[in-house]
Amino acid sequence: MFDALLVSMRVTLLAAPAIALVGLAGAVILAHWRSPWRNLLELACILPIVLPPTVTGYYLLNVLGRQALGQFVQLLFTPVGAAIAATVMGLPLMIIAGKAAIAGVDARLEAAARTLGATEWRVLCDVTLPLAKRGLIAGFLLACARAFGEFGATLMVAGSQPGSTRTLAIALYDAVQLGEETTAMAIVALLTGCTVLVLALTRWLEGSAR
Amino acid sequence: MSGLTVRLTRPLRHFALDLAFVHERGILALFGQSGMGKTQTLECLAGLAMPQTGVIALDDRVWFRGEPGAAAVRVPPHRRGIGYVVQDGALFPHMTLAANVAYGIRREPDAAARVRELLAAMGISELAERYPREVSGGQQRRAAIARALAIRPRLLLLDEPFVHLDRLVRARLMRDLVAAVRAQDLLAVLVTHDREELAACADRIALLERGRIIQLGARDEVLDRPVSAAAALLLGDSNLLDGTVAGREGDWWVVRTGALDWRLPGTETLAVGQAVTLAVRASALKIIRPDVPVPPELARNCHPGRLLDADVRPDTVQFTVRFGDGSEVTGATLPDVYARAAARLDEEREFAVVLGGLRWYPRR
Repeated sequence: MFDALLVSMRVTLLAAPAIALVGLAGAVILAHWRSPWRNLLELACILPIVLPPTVTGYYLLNVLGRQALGQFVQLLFTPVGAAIAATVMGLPLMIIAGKAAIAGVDARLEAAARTLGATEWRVLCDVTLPLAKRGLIAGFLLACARAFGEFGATLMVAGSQPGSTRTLAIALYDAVQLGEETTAMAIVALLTGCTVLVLALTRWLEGSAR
Repeated sequence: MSGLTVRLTRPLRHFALDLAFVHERGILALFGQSGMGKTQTLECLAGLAMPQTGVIALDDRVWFRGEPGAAAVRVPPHRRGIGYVVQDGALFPHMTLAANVAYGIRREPDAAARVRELLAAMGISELAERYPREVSGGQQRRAAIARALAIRPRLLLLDEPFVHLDRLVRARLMRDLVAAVRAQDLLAVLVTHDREELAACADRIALLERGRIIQLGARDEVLDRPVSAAAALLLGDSNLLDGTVAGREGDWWVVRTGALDWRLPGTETLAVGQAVTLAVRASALKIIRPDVPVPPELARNCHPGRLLDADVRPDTVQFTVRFGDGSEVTGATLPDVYARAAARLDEEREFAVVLGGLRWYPRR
């Protein structure tokens, strides 16, 4: 169980920067981009949490396993592959929460910054992001929690190799299959505890933003 | 070309902005009710919204041009250097007042000194390190004005900067703002729907209705002589009575509204039977007790009426009277004047209602 915890942590640590960067960019684009393509993009971003995780995993399996890609890097059944699956599954939460936080910033403040000589980039850095900070962090934490406990897509893409790709959630499944009650209960307690902690933290962040 | 030149059209949800004006000195007030396109006009001037067609230029700099046959110009807001103050100030809540004021000039070497100077000029030096939520609404407004002035604008746009403030705080702020505009010889466009602000701040007034300017002129000219019934109504305290010209009596035109005759001085050529609208200021309406004789000079425009209701406030009384023909007019006066005239009247008795300062407008 301990090695599964380490695997989960490693996968989450690998996924976190990707969630932060792609999630932030996605949130900004979805909040500010005025284009008919925006709805399509938003749909694509949300799709992974609505689709069965195994379906998302199947798509990933096909994309990451392509011959052309395989010549350069081996991603399937590696911790990096697991991290990619965790990123894709966590991103929607970051993007949805981040978009709401950015769109919630008073447009008059952004207008004021523009009249004071700020370019769109400076408006984003000086006004929009600082004021949306709490919502963005909350979304990031939620996404990381999702990545930490991801199961279906990870199993499809990375399998269940002890010490390499067998995360806590997968270890729980294996433990139940093998009838290891104690291990299963320990993992359940750990995952529930972590998730409740993160949820409480995000509620506090979003609540005290007002 | 000197000053602000504006000519623009822009479709809005229920009507289209379509206006043109030139503003060369002092404070121009855009006056109108809510939703008549005042704020949208300011946004076009600031570059936060772009007109569909037209020209916006300040002195010899063109900020917007969208006309067939001319190269299109669209200068974004951050390159216009306009001071813009919106309702409630819109200070950055995550910055201190000093940081707010410094925002537009933070790359200038003497920014700190200039911020101190501006905060002092607006009388909020001691609040420099406070955050917006830690100061009062009036102080926030002062910081917002200092922030807008920091970038040394030639043009200041003010979108209802005095709204939601106490009377006293508002009066002081208006005085200080007008002084700042005068001292730096700025051009300012003030959006407002408040008559007091017009009288206190404006040098010139543009009356806006449904996206169009219905009158533009010097303040006193507009306040004293609205050009149309719509302008008179917009300026707030006017009653409108529809009637027709009934004839001429010596130097007076007689206009009949309902069953009542009114006499207006004037040498204008009116045709008998012509449809006109009479406008009467609420402050020009007098009520006289039945036991008091009506002075002969007021008798021309005096008819019996009954008091319908009165809204008595500490500084003003607004009352409505109904004439025998069913038409109603609203008056406003000081509480002590009202008390002398009406206190002993019960609502069943008729008393004399005098309309002063009658103006007429042709009716289509």
